[in-house]
Amino acid sequence: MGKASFSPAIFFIVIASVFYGCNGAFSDLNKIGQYTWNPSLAFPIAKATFGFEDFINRNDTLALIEKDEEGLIILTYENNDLFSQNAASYLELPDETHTESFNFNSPLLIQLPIAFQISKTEFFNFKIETEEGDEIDSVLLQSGELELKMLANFPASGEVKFRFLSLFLNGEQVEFTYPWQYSGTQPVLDQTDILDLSNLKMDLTDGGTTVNTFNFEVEITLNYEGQPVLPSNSLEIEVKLLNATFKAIYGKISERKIDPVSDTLKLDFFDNLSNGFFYLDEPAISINIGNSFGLPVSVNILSFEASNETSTLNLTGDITQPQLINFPALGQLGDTIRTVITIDHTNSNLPELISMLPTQIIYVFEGTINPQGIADNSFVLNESIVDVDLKIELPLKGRLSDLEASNLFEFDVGEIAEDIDFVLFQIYTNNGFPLSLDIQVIFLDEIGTELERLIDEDNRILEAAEVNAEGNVTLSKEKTIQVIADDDKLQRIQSASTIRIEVVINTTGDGTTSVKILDSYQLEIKIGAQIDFGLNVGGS
Amino acid sequence: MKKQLLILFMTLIAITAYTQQITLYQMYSSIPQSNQINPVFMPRSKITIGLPLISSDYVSVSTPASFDDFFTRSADDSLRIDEQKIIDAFNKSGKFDFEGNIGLLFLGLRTKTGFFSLSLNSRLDAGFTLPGSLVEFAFRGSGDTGTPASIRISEINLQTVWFNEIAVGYSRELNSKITVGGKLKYLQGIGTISVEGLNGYIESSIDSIHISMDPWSVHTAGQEFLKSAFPSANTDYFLFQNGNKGWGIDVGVEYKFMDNLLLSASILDVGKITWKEDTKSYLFDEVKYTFEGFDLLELLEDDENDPNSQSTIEDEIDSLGSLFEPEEVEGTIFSTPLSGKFYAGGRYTLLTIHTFGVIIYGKIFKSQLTPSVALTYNIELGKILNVGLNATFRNKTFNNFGVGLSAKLGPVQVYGLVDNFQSILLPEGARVISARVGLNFMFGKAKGS
Repeated sequence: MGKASFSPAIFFIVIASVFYGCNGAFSDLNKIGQYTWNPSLAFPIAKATFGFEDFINRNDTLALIEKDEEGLIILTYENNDLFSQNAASYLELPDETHTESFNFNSPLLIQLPIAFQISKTEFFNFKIETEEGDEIDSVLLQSGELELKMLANFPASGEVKFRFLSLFLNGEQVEFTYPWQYSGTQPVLDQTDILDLSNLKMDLTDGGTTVNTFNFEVEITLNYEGQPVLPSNSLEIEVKLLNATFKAIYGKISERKIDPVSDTLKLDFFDNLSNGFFYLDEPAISINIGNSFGLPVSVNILSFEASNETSTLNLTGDITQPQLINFPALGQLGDTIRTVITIDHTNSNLPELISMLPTQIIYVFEGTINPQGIADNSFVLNESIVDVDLKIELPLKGRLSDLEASNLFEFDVGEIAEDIDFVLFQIYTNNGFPLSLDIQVIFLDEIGTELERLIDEDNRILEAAEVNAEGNVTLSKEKTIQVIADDDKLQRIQSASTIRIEVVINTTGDGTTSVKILDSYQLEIKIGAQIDFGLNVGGS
Repeated sequence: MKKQLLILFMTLIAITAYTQQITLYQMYSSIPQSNQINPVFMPRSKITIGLPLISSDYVSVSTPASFDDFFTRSADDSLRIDEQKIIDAFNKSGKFDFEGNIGLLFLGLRTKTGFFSLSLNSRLDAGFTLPGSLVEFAFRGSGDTGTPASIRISEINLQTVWFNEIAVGYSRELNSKITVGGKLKYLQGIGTISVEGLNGYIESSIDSIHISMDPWSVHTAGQEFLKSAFPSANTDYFLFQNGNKGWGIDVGVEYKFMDNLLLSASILDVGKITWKEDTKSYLFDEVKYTFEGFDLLELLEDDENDPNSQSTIEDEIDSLGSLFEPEEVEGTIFSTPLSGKFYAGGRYTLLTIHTFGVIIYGKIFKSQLTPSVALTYNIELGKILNVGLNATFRNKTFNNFGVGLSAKLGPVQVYGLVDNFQSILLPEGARVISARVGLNFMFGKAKGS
């Protein structure tokens, strides 16, 4: 009996236990409280090892980098082709018109037999009127036209020969002959001819005795046929020099003014920098002027003004006097002779201009061709040009102290900040530059009220490297700082809409020593972060 | 004797146990399917027949942590997720284990001195190990600036094998004291996922992230079969008609130390399956990756407004991702070992109906041994009912209790076994649950049984 009843008893106990157990476990699910997941993630963010050139090349700047033999970094700003104008802008050959009348006088005609040939030659010239009183010896023409109009009413057949004593083609004088046949009607010659002046040489010296004089000779030959030739019978001539352009003009070119040229050079390297002391030892501006006119040119700096947001300063010193630049001699025909005018601390107050951290330089140059007509035997080619390039060179050798830079950025930390309890940034630097850098991040609300500063104490993230007496780095400096934002700080940051990043830069010794920035200097930086999250999960 | 007891006690303390079919092992005298875990075991009936799907169905699940391991009860009776308890649990063993067995056929024939058996089973054996360091990383991240986090990838393991087996067994009494048995198994693989060669580490700190991994691979088989299993299953593939073949053996021995004291031991599932059909492997190259931060200058150069340019961060992510892009190779040939197990035990019979025993069990998964030990008690209640109870030592306490019942009603035997009975009563503390149910037809009674 006992054995028989044992099996159902166990069965019921087991079943009851199972239901009880499962029910107990499921009821506990409702007791699970809110869980805050607090993972702490530490991870590297960024790293770099770079020199000054790497940094500049990766930033959107107008500055270019040059180096001297030592490797000293020279920031340069260039404005090439500041001014470039060729001779055609200053010199033009005027159009000329000259008329003549040619006839036979009576005594000559009375003595004529019934049939024979008669000739007569006459010499003509006219002056080419130049605008500025230029005294032109000769011109190698590039293009142009000589228009020749002829009208003759001789009662006989014949011809007229024009011999242009001032025009040469390949060394030979230029001449033309126009024949006609008399058939009882007049005029016997009514013709207009146009001579292409391209590549012709025009000698205006009348055999070396004068200038600006165009000579030509006319010879008429008549075949007398019994009709009387009266004085009223003539050849009317009109000679025009039209649209002449030159390849070269030789002679004495008068003084001409080059119109003042104004330009602005932006210096973005100093953008956002302010306050503090900034001094470069040897800034320089080179004005490189090319001249292929065969005569002197002078350049005058009418104005050279540096400015930033708050002030302006003008260039002063000897350099502001007119500077005479070199020019090619006759044997250097076609060459461009360059003259470099250097503005630096020896002839100007340029270091003071640069110290004011200018964001732009506005300058006005004026030029004069052959000032006061000092050159007699000069030449001008049609390709003669005066061009001006300007280059500002800022060798990075000098001193800074408490130089400040700041910039505003939009900021929106978003909802993720609500799930973060703690943030730590670890910044390691090994600084090979003789510059220290203090940085602060200031969180602002919508109306610009300061809410919080990111770094509480030591905000010098870069220690300046040590330098010797020449300003060269002898020992780089390592530093590790940790920037911590705890939950309270993060809460205050959340309502920020703007951040202002402020940077203070000093050279080694806080600006007491002149230091150099060489291209071999490098900065190693490693940034890592630790973020402690506080994510609330579930809960009943 | 005290010294021996101390050694035994120390041994018990030293091992962390998962119970696995302990109850079936202890009830071998009444349930024929105990022959599956020691081929030396013989049922009492002359003829035993187990029909498809109902003769023996077994499932076992174990996890590294129980519901209780996840929580600590606060003073207000609420439950708080307890990271440390979870991490501790996974640091002890991060192994997930699943076994399943559906009996398709069982035939047993008892002779005067021996026992023949033929069985068909469809088995699923899955194991996955999640290292405690990874769980700790998930909860606590990479730690603070001074403590680099390290995840040991080599502790991650995964192998899942589904296979059918045809087992032919024979056991025989060699003499009055020793009985030996063996079983030869023909194995037909259905599907598998197996990770091979996973070795390396991930270290993360505020200064750097290092990933170092040896070449590794993920082998799979049966993908196409599983994709097409419903509604048009490839029955040929499933029913022993594919190229994924293997062999395995079980061996066992029983020694009668004295009339009331028997010692027994078995080694199971020594073998492997070679996969040749419907295979696909994913081969991963060696990874040596160090990240010390994005290039600061390139970050500054990034143009957020340019939709055609890829950011430095995206480049780095792509670069990292490319290190883990596997080469897919179809038709590979590879092998997966069976998860070998061993059982050893002794039992003492008192007054013919009471049996006390000790059983040690171990399972080898991907070269990792998971042992356990149990104390057992059996009582035979007449000819009908056999009840087994056991307690398994785990976490320095006996906290796994097994219960087994078998009832023989004429030629029909029904049985049900639960190795971790407290998992049903107290599921919040359960890390392991295993159960087996079945029905056999048993005819005749063997001599001397």
